[in-house]
Amino acid sequence: MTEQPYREPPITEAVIELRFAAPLETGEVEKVSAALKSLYPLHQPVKGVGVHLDVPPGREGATTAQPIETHGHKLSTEDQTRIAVVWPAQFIFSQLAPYPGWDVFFERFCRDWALWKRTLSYRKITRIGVRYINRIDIPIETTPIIQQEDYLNIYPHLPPPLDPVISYSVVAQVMIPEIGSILTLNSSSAPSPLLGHAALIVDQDIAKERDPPQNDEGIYALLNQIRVKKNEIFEACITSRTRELFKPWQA
Amino acid sequence: MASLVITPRQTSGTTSNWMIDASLLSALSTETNIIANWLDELRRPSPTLVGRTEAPTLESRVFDALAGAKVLTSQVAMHLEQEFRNRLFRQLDSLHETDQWEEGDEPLDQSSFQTFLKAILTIKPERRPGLGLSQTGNLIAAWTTERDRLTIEFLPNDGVSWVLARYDDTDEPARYAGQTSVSQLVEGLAPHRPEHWFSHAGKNHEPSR
Amino acid sequence: MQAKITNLPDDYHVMRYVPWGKLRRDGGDNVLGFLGEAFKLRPDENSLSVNWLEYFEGDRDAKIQASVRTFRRTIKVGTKSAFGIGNVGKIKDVCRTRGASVRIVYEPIDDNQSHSGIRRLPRDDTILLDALAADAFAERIGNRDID
Repeated sequence: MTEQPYREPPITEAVIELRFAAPLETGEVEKVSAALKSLYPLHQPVKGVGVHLDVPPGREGATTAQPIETHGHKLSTEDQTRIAVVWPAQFIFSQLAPYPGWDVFFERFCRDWALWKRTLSYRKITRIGVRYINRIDIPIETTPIIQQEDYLNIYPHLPPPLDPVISYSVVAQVMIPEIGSILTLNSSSAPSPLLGHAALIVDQDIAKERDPPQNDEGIYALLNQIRVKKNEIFEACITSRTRELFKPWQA
Repeated sequence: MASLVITPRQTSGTTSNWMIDASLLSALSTETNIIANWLDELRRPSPTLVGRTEAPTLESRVFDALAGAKVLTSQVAMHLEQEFRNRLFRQLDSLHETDQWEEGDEPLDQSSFQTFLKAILTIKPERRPGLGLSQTGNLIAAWTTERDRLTIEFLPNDGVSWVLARYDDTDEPARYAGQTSVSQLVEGLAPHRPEHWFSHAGKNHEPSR
Repeated sequence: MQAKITNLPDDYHVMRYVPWGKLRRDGGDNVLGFLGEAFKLRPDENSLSVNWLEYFEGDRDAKIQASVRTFRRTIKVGTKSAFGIGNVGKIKDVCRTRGASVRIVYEPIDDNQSHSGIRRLPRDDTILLDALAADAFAERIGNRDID
C-alpha cells in the first residue's frame, strides 16, 4: 500500500524553507547554485523585489518606501515539478504536483541540504518552515452554490443576511506547543482550473522561529514532526465528503 | 466577507514598520495594492519567480513558455495520468525545438494552454491528439481517423475554434466548423459523434446529425 | 526558361513549405499530413507564398528537388519540416467551393525566381484552410526525403 492515503492528493505545492541569520554573499549564492546544478538540469537567475516602508508615528504623511532587490537562482527539473531556489537569506525547496509522497520529498531535501552544507558549511538558521498548499476541486452539480461546511471545517461564519458569499479568505495563527512552532492556516475560495468545478484552498504553513535546530539530526527530526502535525491538521480541516474527492486507496 | 487587517510591528526605533495584510485589495489605492503585493510576496516561503535579469531571446521565450506550461500542468497533475503528462511534455518540447522554428511564430500562449487543459480534463479522450501551434502560439490538437479529421484550436480566455471533416464512405467530406467557449465544446461536438476520434473503438459509421 | 506569365495555368503545380509545428501528426508524433494553419496568411501577408514547380527543369523528381533546394537557400528550413504539393486547378476548385475566387500568380523575387503567390485567400475560413490541407495540397514530401 502506498504511504499516501489518496489516489489524487490535492497538494499543489509542498515547500521546505530554511532562513539564515546572515545573508550569503553573492559569490556564495553562485557557488551553491553551481553545486546544485548537478542535480537539476534547468537553471535561471531570479530577482525578488520588495519594499521597506517607514511610517513615522503621528507623521504618516512622511512615510517613505525603499525598494529592496535580491538576486538568487532557481533550479528545476525538466518537468518543473522539483524546484530549489537559492536566495541570499533563504534556501527554498519545493515540490509541485504530482506530489510523490513525504518519503521521496524528504529524501530529496536531505540530499540537497547535504550538498548545500558541503558547499558552504554551517550557517545559523533562524527559521525552519514547511508549507503545504492544497486545492480541493469540487464539482458544481445542479446548483452554483456550495456549502463550505460540507467540505471544510475551516470557513467564515456569517450571519444569514450576508450569505452566500462570492469569495472568502480566512487566516488563523495557532501555536503548536509540542513542537514549538506556529501554524498559519489559510483557507479561501479560488477558481478551479477544471470546468464545472469550484475550488477551496487549504494552505498550511508550520514554522519554528524560536531556537530552531541547527544540526541535521534536529532539523530532520523537526521536519518529520511537522509532517505528522500537518497531516493531522489537514485531516481535521476536511470532511469525509472531501476525502471521497481524493479517491482514497481502499484498505 | 474578506477583511483588511493592518498589523503594526513596533521596532526599537522611533518609527513603526507596517505590514499590510489584505485578503481583498480592491478597496485600496493602486499604489497601496502594489506595495501590499510586494510585501505579500516577501512573506511567502514558496519559490516565486518574479522576473528575468536579461532581455528575452527566442530561446528564453521558448523556455518560459514551456516552463509555464509545465507549471500549469502541475496544477492539475492530480487529475492526469502520469504517462499522459510525460508524453504531453514530450510533444510540447518537440513543438518548441528552436531549430524547427518558423520566424514570426510565437511560442505557446499560456492562456491557450489553460484552455487546452480544461478541454482535455473534460473530454478525457482515450486517444491522444497530435499537437501543433498557430502563428500566435495557440495550441492546436488534431485527431485523425482514417481520412476523417477533427482539429481544435485552443484560444486564450477559454475560447475554442474547431473544424471537422467526415467522409462516411463518400469521396466528398461533410465539413463543419464552430467557435464557442470551452465549456460548450462538448455540446458543440456532440452532433458529430466525437467518440469517432476520441475513443479507441475506431471508425464509427454513424454519420453526423 | 518560361515566358513571363501572370496567372499560373490550372495544370501546373505549386509547393508550400510547412514547418514541423504545422504538420498534422498523431499522438505519437507520426506525421499524417498538414494542419490548416499551414495555409493561413500572416497579418502582414497579402498572398500565400509558394514555389511554382514547373519553373524548374527536368523530370518531376528533379523539379521537386530543385524547389526544395530553393527553399533551403532562401528561408530557414527545419530538418523535420515537409513540403506540400498542390495542383493549381485543384487549389482553385477547393477555394471556389467556399466562395473564394483565388488567383495563383507568378511573383518572382530576387533570390527565388520560382516564387508565386496565392492571392485573395480568405484569412479566417477554417473550413477552407482544412480543405486546402487535406484535399488541395494532397502530396507531401518530407525534407529528409530530399538530399
